[in-house]
Amino acid sequence: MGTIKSDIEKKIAELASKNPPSNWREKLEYKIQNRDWLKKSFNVAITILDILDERNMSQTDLADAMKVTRQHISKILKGQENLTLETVAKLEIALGIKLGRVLDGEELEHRKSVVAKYSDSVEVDLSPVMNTDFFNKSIASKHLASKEKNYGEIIERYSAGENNYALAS
Amino acid sequence: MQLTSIFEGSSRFDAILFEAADGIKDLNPKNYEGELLNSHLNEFDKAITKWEDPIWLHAFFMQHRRDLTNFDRMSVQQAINQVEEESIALQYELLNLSKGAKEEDVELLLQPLSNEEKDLQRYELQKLKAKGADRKGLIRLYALKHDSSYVITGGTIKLTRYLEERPHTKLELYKLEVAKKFLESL
Repeated sequence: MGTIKSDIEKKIAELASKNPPSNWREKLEYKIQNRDWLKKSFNVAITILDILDERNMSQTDLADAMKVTRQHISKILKGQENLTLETVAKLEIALGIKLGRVLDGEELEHRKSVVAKYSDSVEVDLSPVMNTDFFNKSIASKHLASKEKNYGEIIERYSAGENNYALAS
Repeated sequence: MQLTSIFEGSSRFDAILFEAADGIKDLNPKNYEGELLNSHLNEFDKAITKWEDPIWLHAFFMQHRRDLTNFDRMSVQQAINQVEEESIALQYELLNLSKGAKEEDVELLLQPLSNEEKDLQRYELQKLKAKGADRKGLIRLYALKHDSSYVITGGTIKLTRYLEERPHTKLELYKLEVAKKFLESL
């Protein structure tokens, strides 16, 4: 790399120096040093997000079930929370799952066992049906289609800052 | 438009910070959870934040899950994990480059956006891209070459062959163009 900078390059450097530098390196070092438990927290977050989506539950619903604040749920779902055993137990009870395999990095096979309770004495295992093309193309597709707008809204609102580019000069 | 240094004390890597245009009221827009969005971050930090945010990633891949058929029918969870891991790996690579890398090493990471320019001489304000892990990587970082510096204009998740095929990747082309005009005006 040459040591003589062009005038424009100097101007860029001057412009960049007016703003505080990005602290991404410090954040990266933290992420690398705490990789093990952060990865587990991340895996738990994406598993819970999947379950909430599948059951059409909101973060508030989960908070109510766990008797915690919605802000606490939001922190958990950010995937950077050092989860306590108490929180893990509450999650398991509230969602009827076991997080052991998730903590080990495996996907939770929560979709494979779905039982519909029609009455106190009648229960039907929907698992065989849920895994068929028929189910996926009919009920599931309609269910998911109704959520398309919600996903779009989430992305749009997260990206609202980028929508402003259309008007930038 | 602002510039932020990625590496303190060096102008080697900068990142664009797109400011809201005049007249836009939502200078601090919030998402559906009432949390501040990342519009105050430069494009590099914004990309990293999204790539490592489970909530954003889950919403993104649920919206674009049909495109995952291009990747051996990868599940949404697998895709989310891959993006997060690619993000860490890419940052690690940039960190290593910050420790006095040769131009050839940087050029190995930041390739020409157009595949047709792959074996040609690099030129001023050339549009470049960096991939996450390998050929089948999901994340992309975009930058402009300016002398011996690189200005990052944005990052995204690419699930289709061409950037024009999806609005979110097409936006990166627009940002490259806007940033290029800004640098030309200096």
